[in-house]
Amino acid sequence: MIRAAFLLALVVMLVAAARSFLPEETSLVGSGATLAFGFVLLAALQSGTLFSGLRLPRLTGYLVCGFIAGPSITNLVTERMLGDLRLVNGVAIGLIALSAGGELSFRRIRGRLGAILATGGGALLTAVVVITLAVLAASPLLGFLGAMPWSQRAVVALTMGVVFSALSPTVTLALISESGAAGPISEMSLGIVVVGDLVIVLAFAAVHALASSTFGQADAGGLSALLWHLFGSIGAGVLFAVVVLVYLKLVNLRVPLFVFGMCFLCAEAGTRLDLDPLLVCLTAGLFLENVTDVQGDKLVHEIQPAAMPTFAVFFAVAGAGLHWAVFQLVAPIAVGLALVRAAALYGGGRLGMALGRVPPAERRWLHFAFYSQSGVAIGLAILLRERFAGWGEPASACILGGVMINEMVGPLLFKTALAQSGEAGRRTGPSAAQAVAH
Amino acid sequence: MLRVVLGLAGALVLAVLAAHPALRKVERRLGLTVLLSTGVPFLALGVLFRLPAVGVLTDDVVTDLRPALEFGLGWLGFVVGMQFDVRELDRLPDRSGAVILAESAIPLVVTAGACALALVGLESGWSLRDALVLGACAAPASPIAAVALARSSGSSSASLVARVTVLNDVAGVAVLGLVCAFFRPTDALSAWKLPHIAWLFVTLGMGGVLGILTYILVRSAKGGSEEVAYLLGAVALSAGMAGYLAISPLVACAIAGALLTNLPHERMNELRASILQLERPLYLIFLLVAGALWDPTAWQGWVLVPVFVLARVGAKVLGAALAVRTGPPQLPDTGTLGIALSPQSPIAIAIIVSFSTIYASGEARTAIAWMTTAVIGGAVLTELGVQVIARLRGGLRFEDRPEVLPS
Repeated sequence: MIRAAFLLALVVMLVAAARSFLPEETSLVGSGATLAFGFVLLAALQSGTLFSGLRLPRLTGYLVCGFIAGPSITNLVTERMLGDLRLVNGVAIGLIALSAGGELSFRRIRGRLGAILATGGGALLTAVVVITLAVLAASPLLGFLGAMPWSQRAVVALTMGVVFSALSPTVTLALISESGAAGPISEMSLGIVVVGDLVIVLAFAAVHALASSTFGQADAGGLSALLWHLFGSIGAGVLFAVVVLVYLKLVNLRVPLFVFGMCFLCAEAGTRLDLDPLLVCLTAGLFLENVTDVQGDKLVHEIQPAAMPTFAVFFAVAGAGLHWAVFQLVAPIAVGLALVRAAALYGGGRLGMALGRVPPAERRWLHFAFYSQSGVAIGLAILLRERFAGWGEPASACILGGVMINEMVGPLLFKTALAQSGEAGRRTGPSAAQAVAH
Repeated sequence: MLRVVLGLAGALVLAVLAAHPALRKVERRLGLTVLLSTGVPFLALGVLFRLPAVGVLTDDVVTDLRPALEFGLGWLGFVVGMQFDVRELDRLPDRSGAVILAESAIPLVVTAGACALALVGLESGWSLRDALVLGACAAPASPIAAVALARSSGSSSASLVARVTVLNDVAGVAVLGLVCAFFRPTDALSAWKLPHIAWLFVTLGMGGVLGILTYILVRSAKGGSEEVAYLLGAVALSAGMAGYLAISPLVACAIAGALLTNLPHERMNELRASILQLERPLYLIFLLVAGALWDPTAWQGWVLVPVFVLARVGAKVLGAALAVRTGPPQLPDTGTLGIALSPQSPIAIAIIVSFSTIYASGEARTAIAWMTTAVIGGAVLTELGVQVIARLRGGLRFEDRPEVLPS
């Protein structure tokens, strides 16, 4: 820990010194992004080590490090540098989704599929309904909703309900790996958040279409766009998997670099083609693990060298993207929303677990996997802000405020649950994306 | 946009495939260096991708790829620095210093002078800075395949020649460091007002601190993945800091790498292997971007090519003659040594690209474009010429003498 603290201090001093060379408003093309990448990576890894020493999740260390270094607090990493680093985000989401898919063996979870669907369905459905009702009930207090007729308020509330219900496969997978956890709770958590993420992406496409028609905006294709988004992504995912398979069979050289490049391609091309990079990579991982003779967990192990730095930068950039100024403005609403969401996920989750006949010992800890939020919720909230002028921005600010709380608190709860349930440290052999755990 | 992504992805796949060991075997069999076998195709690909009709490396994309270029320069800097092992210097035979000096200083001075005159003739105007950088590009040499082959069979003279080329690289990078310290591009812009000599200390100090930082990081790594992650972070931080202060990333990272390699570390060989494993793909991607930044259309650049080549090769042969006369007895004959040390090192292209990323703005842009053409064109021309001459001579022969240097 002392070494980590020393290294962190050294890196911070070096970057602070370098940043003093040019006036605040001046930025250099290229060097700024390279400097930010190196700094964020090294500082995040050292923060992770420090947090791990304090028995806190490394991932929280990455987030806190990014938050402190970001524009909100010290501005060592400026908004412009953050913009340049977003390239890493696409790759990281791809790697995480590929790892999640590669870890999810249908053969292994076949016996638990009913429980996964019941628990995830119960939690998400309840969350969407309860958050929607809560936003509606609070609408007189929310300035941007106050002037709208009830029909429009309901649509906005439903949209916010869907976005704010999003779970986080990235955090879940990262924490399972970090803890070296293995067992029914880890497996079910991963299954629930992955399936839940798919449901949220689909539900968002539907409410997006509904909101577009309600507010008289063009909805770029409606149902056909939704179908393309879904099946196009799945098709692209299968194609991705086939390319990786062929590469592994014929070349099998510098696999991390190749997969990194494929994820970059997927992130950039997917966005331009209106495909979901997360869904593409998730499908690829699932296909490789469940259809081909490539063992997903071995592939995950192979890509560790590329995944570890990418994940650390991804979570640190997510932390840096949290805007303290915006949070202060919406803090009471954000806290309220976060509490409502947690209560709904807990209640709905417990109900689903009862319906799915989840053993009582697992019920006690499983719901802790639901509270974290990260990439998907942030991405959808930003999409909301970009697509809907007027109400999109304040709605997005409220959601992002809530996400900020869940992003900080959720990983602590889930890591504690994994430790308390006795699953932490049970894993042997190559682990899923130990990249984060190292 | 899709075209851009597919083009870049294709280039990445090609870079990974071009680094395949099978291709390296073919290279060795044909006696080619990396520059001719894969480097030139990637440079050409960069130029091609830059064409408006192709539209892959557009202005925006090139701007987006600038961090990758800086990172690549930093990585190459670490590669150069990590070859500078003082313990190996101590094991060089007596009077080896004369060889290194002759093969670095003579090409540097002669090429700088000849190119300065040519630049005046081309009405670009006299610039000590530009002449010095062309001189810096003339010093690095890449041992031709015959050297590697003879060295692997235990030839001490080939081994000595190979070590001389490593130190030639270091000399070229050192001159670039001096240029960056004494010809500051951002004095008007920066918040730091330092005398030029102070920038030399800043460069050395920064490289040293970054080297120590890298050392502590890699020592604390728990396994290969963590080591690679730390290495990536250290290279990016070093390259980014250097670029931010308008110091060449190549120079700062070479200092950091040199310090790193001379500190005790039980996994140093594995660390070197990690760095070298990514060197080839990164170098090829670097050449792709360099190709996109290169403007080969000006005729003045092509006029400069023969001047650069003749001055450099002539000076290398002259240096060889002097080295054979004053250097250790293990050296081969003048002709063999001259030919062996003539091919240009890939580091020369890295030097000119690094220089152009720092200084190519405003009026300087035109002359720097010519200089870039001279160095890239010169590298290809020299390589082709050396291949022809070596074949006409029936190959290069290195006498087998008792091993003086460790292989």
